[in-house]
Amino acid sequence: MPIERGLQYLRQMQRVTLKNLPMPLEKTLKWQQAHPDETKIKAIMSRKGPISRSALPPYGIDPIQAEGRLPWILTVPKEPYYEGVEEARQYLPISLRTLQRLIDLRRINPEKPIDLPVLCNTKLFSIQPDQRQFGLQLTDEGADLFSTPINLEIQWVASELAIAAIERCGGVLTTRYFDPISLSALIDAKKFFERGEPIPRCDTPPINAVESYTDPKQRGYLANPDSIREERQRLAQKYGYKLPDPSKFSSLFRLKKDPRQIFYGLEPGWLVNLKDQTILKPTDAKFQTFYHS
Amino acid sequence: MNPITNFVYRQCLALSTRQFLITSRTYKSNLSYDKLFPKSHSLDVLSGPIQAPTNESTGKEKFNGFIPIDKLDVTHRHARGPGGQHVNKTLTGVEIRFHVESATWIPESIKPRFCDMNHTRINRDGYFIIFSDETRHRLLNQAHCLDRIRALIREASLIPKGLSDEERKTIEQRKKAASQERVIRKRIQSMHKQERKPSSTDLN
Repeated sequence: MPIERGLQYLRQMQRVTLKNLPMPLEKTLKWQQAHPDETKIKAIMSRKGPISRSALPPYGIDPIQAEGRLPWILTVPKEPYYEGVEEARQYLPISLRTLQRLIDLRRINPEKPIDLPVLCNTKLFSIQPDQRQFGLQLTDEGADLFSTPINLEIQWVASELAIAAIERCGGVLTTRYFDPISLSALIDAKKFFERGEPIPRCDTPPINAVESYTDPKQRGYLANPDSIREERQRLAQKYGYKLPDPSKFSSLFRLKKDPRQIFYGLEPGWLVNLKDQTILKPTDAKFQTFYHS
Repeated sequence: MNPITNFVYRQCLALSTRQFLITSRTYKSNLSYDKLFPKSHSLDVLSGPIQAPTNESTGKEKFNGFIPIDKLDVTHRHARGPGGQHVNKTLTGVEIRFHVESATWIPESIKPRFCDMNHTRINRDGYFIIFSDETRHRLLNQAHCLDRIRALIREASLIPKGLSDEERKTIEQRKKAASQERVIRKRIQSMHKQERKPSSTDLN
């Protein structure tokens, strides 16, 4: 550094340290390691490998640390068509054909409301709540054969034809959501009562299911009854049948569960004692507010 | 606190199922239907007011979309095409007939145009016939027939707008301009051809 400049710094600066002065950097070892020379790089780099052959992998993958092997993130294959399979809800199918067959063989009584426990008692379906199975769905096979009016409560409907087939005969269809705890109570009701647990309060459906359970076209249980009536009329005109006279229905056809209720006639919170043929009901205020909320 | 003392011991009589279901033990939670839909006209799905048309439109008014199914003659017939035993045995084809003149649900203003456009579907006795065997299900074929009937009625009700005065003027102008250009081109072409011929004036 020239002498005059140095003296100028001494005059003007408040403090003169090694770090303050604009001197060319001393190339410490630390700096040299961080900035290797081109010749040095060439000496370090291998003659083989992706860098020397201009075949670098995409960004984010370190070729040196991979040491000739594929990095872990490339060894695991991607199957994007299965995305969301762990969270997807499953519904076991029941066709209109099997329903009609069960009614003809008198395994199901069509005069009473047909529910999930009624269908599970036929022992034709094994629903497993821990395998992400949420109940039964109605398929449209046998739509031309179906000919009994029923009050049916199912968990999912995929086709409009199935809904039309039931309503054409003068029946009622609702789609209803049950959370896994309620489902395990419904699948084997007798076993559940023998467990000695109070009847659970059914949860509201998850966010990705709310849209379909509030849809009148799916006859969702949370849909506006006015819109459901419109849809019934629309289907009757579309498929060419006449809706039956509402005064001819028995009161059992109009029976509908509350959104928190699981069993017909039983409230959540009640404890059913099959051995002594009694029902125990909670009287404490906190239990009552919970089960009525 | 002993949890058992919180419960009330109540005897449950041996009631029949029907009585059990109907007795006024109506449980209402915070999500009951009268709280979710306080403004609905009727909470019953089976009976209540509907906005969609439930009666046919009488002859003079516009077609409101309602087709009275009682007045249609629906017959099930054999379907055509491949399908083996199922298509041979089951009657999945659907034919719908109705007498056009006596159909009160089609507006009178549309009927002549409707008969004109679909004269191939109307037989000598005046019955409109339509047949469908597109699908394997009878219900779906019936829906297909009704859909086509509705589409044909709509086609008959649409009257073409026609050209306005301005549009007619522009079309005439364009025609004139095109014909003038054509005449000019013809004359130029004929001049070319005349120049090729030997002319009568000798260049001696």
